[in-house]
Amino acid sequence: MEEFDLRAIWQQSQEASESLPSVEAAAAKQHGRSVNLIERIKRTARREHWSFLVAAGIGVVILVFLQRYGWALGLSGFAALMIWKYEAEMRLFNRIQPESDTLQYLRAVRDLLEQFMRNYRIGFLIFIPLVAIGGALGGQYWATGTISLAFWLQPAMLLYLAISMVAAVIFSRFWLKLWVNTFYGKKLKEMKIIIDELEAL
Amino acid sequence: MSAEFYQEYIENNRAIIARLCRAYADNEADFQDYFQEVCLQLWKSKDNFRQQSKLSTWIYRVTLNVCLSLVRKKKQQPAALEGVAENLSVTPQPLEDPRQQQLAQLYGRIRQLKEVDRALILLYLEEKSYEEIAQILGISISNVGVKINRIKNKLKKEIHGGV
Repeated sequence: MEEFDLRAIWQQSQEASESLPSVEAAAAKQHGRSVNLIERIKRTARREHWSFLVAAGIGVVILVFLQRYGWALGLSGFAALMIWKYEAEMRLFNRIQPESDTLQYLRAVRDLLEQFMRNYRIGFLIFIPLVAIGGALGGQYWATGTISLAFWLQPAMLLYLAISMVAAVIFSRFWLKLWVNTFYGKKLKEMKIIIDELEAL
Repeated sequence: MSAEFYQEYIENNRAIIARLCRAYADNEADFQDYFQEVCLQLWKSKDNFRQQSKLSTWIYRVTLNVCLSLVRKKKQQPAALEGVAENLSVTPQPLEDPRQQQLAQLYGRIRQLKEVDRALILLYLEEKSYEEIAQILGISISNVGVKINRIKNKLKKEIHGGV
């Protein structure tokens, strides 16, 4: 029978199990360091989180040293918010189980990847104007010893704010295309195709 | 899952993992990546197995999910047929063996299929029922048979026709 033929050919690929390392040994060979997409994103998120916490910690110490207690408190509050966000993200990561059915698994990975990319984008959209405003505020305070609202209503400052926002939009798009897409975008596209095909079945 | 049961079942079925990984890997280095990653995921998720599905379903799911979502380290060239045949067995058999030639051809053709078609035909070749195939992939059972028949016919034509 024809359909038996393919299976008969396939049966020849019954590899001698002795030639393969044990599952435990193969797992140990990875040193517990998965190269799976989820684990890679998780590691990146963990690295970024700790870098932020170290930077925030240094920032708080400097602000306390300069006796800017309000700013130090604000930065501490922001750090607490980031810790909460990180924990929520990790819970989301851990919810993705490789033993789920393929469609469910790929959808979960796709959603996570999209969220990961969105987070970067939003981060840049907030971070760049924030740095621009912070720089200008600091400069104003350093030059005049005060911070006045009238200063920000001057056309030059409004233009400066507008440019920083445009820069944030352009840079976030550029960065997403160049950096994130280089590493994850191709895989995301591939997975979307697989999901579409599975859904069409 | 008890350690003994795990040892007995998973370890004894690692040839299944290897066969599926070979169908997704372009070369030996790729294969090692896939195989080790699947083993790691199986090892890490062994405590999650709650008897809600068959153990074989669980193994196929983890293996396919890893193979479909792994980001390869670098772009690699597809292996030549000789390489495939050599990689299929412990003691390389000469490619003059027509059965090995057919097997190498089958692997080669399977690798050229789209990812979903590849998963479907692999599960069929592994003698999974349509119901189990649908459960593993998370799809409706209704079109599984039709789709597999199409892929099967395509493969047969290519292998028999020597395309």
